[in-house]
Amino acid sequence: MFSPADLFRAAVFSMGPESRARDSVRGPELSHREDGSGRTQEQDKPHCPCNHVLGQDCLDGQILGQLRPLSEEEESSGAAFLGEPAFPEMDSEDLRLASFYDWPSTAGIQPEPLAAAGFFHTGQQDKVRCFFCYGGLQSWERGDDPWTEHARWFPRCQFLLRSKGRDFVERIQTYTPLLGSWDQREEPEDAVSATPSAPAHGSPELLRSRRETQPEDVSEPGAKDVQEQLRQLQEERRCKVCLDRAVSIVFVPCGHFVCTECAPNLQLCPICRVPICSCVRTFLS
Amino acid sequence: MDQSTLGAMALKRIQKELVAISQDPPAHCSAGPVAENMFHWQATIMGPEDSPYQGGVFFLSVHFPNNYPFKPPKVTFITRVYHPNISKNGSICLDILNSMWSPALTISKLLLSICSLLCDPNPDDPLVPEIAKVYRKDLREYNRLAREWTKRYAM
Repeated sequence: MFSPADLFRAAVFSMGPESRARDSVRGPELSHREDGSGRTQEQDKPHCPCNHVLGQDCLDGQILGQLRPLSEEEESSGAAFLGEPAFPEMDSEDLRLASFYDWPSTAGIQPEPLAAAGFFHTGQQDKVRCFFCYGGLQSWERGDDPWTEHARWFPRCQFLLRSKGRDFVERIQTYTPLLGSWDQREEPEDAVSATPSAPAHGSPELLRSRRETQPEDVSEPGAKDVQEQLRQLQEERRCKVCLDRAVSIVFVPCGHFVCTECAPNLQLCPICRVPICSCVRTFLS
Repeated sequence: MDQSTLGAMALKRIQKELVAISQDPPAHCSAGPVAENMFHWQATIMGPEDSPYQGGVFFLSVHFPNNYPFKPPKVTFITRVYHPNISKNGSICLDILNSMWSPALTISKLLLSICSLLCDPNPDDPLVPEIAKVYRKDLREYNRLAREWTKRYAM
């Protein structure tokens, strides 16, 4: 138990500098490719710390000794970026959760829902990244839902689409259409860029501006629309003769409505002046 | 339905019309009750532009019947008007005030219709045949006389 945690902690610490992060990322892949050495390491790990140290040396040696395989891996991973996770070692939710060991207590959200939504902690304030699409988010507020934010900013993430379904993502996008269209334009650039540092630099400002814009858009038009619709509905159902009660009588043959109090006093329809043959009680619900 | 119920309905309807005309008055018109009697209103119509009545302020009297809105209100001009469809004593020859009345009409709509009548007289159904004759034969003379009456009585 203790040795895997140590390994992981070392990996997390190395994430700060970009170059070291890349090195740590490559390590496990190399071990996977060489079956013999991989098996050896796995067998040795639980037995004693001495072998653990030896294993680390072996990894370093492999990296130093095989420059060509590294370059090949870079090319292949770049080509298949969209289909494969950007951080495959973070595929496990437990590992993602472990990355939040220094998560700031002042953050407006707990690590558990973030890890469940595919995010791991980058080590900087409350900034997290999705292990699959490499999308970064920060400035978390109380009440934020990680899945909703994931769908809002990175709707094309395959992990998100697999976990929540396309309907969920489309619903979130419909709720904020302008932001959705903005985001869709941005995402291809993130995907295409060769250096991971580029989106890291650009995203904080963009994210902040988006967050600031959104609440204003949501509140004002909604309130006005609701009031207008309510007034219109009330107007439609109000008797045009007494201007007071709700309509509940329909005239035959013209089909216009009045209320029960006014109907008995009319021989011609007040709306179209057609003679009234009969009245029918109706119930609008 | 007995008279008191009809009266209550009429009062309620008139009160709602007063609120509506206060909040959203029609163009060039105003109206309100006279001396606390909701069934007796006074209305004013500004003489429409592009008409010989321009610049005049015409006062009208509106009396609501107890069975309003099932019967039309009685609307008459207090101010004298030179018009083929408006008599010397202020009666107005307008079909929606008589045979074509509908309970869906309101005072706002009536005042707008009277404004429209001032702009476009109907000489085929005159209340004052002499004025209708002048309107048909000598439009310039009609306009001159209408302007003269407006200056004399409505300013």
